Amino acid sequence: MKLHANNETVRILKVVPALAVIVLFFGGGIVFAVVQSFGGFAVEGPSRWTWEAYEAVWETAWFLPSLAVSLRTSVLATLFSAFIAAGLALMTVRAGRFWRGMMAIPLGVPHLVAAVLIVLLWQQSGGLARLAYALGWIDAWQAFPIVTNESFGWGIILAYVWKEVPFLYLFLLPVLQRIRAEWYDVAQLCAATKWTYGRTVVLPLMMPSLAVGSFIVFAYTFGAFEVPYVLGVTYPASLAVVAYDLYTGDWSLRPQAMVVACIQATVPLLVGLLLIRLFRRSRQQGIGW
Amino acid sequence: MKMYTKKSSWRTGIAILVLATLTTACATAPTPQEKFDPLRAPWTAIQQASSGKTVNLYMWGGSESINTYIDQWVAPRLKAQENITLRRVPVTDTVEIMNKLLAEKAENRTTGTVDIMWINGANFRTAKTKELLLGRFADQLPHVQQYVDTTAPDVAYDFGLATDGYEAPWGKAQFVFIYDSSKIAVPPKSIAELRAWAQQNPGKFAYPAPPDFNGSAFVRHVLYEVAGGHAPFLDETLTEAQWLEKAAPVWQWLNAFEPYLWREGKTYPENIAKLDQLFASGEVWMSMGYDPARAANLVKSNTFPATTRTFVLDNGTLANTHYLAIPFNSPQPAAAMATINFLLSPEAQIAKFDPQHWGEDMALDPLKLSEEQRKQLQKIDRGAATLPADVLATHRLPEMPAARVTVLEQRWQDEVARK
Repeated sequence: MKLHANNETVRILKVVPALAVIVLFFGGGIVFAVVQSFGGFAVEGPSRWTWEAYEAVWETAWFLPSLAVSLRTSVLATLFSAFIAAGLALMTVRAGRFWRGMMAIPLGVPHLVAAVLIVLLWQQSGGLARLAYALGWIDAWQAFPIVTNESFGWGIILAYVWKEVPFLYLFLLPVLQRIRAEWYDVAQLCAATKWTYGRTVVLPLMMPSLAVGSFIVFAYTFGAFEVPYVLGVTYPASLAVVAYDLYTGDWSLRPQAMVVACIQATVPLLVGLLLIRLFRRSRQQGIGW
Repeated sequence: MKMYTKKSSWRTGIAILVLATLTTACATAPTPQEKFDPLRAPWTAIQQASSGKTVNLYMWGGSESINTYIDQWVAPRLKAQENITLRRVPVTDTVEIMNKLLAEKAENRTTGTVDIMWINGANFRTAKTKELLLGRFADQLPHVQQYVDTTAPDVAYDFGLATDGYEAPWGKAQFVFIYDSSKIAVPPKSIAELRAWAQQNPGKFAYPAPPDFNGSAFVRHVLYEVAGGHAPFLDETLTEAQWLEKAAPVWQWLNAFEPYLWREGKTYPENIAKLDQLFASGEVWMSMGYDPARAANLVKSNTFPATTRTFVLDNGTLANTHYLAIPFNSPQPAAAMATINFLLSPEAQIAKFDPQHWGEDMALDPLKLSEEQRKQLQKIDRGAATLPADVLATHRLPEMPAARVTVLEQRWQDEVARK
């Protein structure tokens, strides 16, 4: 027995419990979904390997519109969240606890609750419409713009922005707090304006964290079910809602449900790989800490 | 980010997965043991075997009043009388239980986690045809023998499929429309009148998108009225194609109806909870539901206005019975039987009839109750929003076979939602 195991081994052993859970439950689920999407583990009838479910999904009227809904809402929600969170973090980096406290509130609210809150607040008979009516801004609640359950997906984006801005804010804050005030003084000695200082010092230091955080937001919002379920439209529904409908529908549709689930896993995977490539390149250019 | 750790963790992952598969494969080897068979045991033996046990009741958890009835009325009394601990496990859609049991069946898992499940219709069809059920237990229960009319068609057949004692009736539900009497003086009496009303009041009516249970039921009411009555749609000898051909007028009707709906039918409430919320906030003027007492309950909780009332159509509204069943791999089948028997006691059923607890119709035959129990029933005030029992009873329409309901829901997606 070797009493003094080297550091690397100890480190690997420490992650085994967490890794085991991820691999068994998460990895197992993914393997199951992939196999079932190709006709394995059939619920009804014999299992056989086939592309049929992929072809069937591709040929449906709903696939491309639903993909568009999922991509549109998740990309826009990610971009808006990233800009707002970065802006807020830059403005309040020295402001301290008050802002962190404010930001922690939405963070603790589950996504489903956030979605319902958006409905209650923003629907045509909701809180904001009543307020606008009471203030005499609109003649009737029907005059309030339709934000929830409309086909572009503004309600979905709104709910995600409300939830993810605090997440990204708290993700970025420690990074920005590591930037010391004296650095700006040094930069000024080199005749840098506030703008060039931000562009050449702050932004490159912030970028890796912002990119990772945004990727987490994108991967989550692209795949999540509850917000588009509550705030989306019947047709075209987001891929997550379609997958759920297929999964709870007829048994023969199970492979198609898994196809949709696999697509939902693949898109963030590809984006993630792309991000890793960009990272490597930017690291060589000296971006990051 | 260091990428090399990712690669090695991937390899470790595969190794762990392979190991795990091997160990679970060994663990499922059959272990021979003498088992007590609750389906053949005398009732006293079942009671003995169930004392001190814990029973998991898996059920749709979307109704506050139903959950409260189980947790606060049933559970303490069951503990006191039978010494059984009841654990309610909520699900959002009963089909989730079917998926779980199907997966367990495929894995040959003989001891699952579900002891009792609340089901009917398509889920019972799945459970019975895929052999996910324990067996014919219902006739063993003393309260079924004593108080249930097992030959009544609405008990013996669940959406056209013979129950054969694989499930025990728990209650009866009937579809009603909900409206606000301060906004609608005279509610419509037929689907045609409903349409005329919606045309005069555009945007004030909506139905939840099928496969929502209640939205799907609304579509069946339209089908019965605009496609020649209910009889042809109950005919099990028709092929699916023939059946769909007969049903075709419903799609034309529903599409022509769309412009008068909430949001002009560009989107539908995703479930009954959303429709209720739109009704409560006054955005629409009607709601609906497969529970005659729900409106009264929501009035009492101040969710709906006090002027809320319900109505049925002159031709009647859909009615069905819902049941309790025991899965094939229930860990405590004896305790499950004792629990279901308790839920079918006149005491538990009368409490369930009371809108204070739930307010839905009994599964028991009122004629088999004692004089005193019947008096108790008559004394219960079910609220102004609940129709009298005789009005409901004389306006009942039968449900169609469960498989047809599923087809209808799927077609709705293609014919209405995507057009």
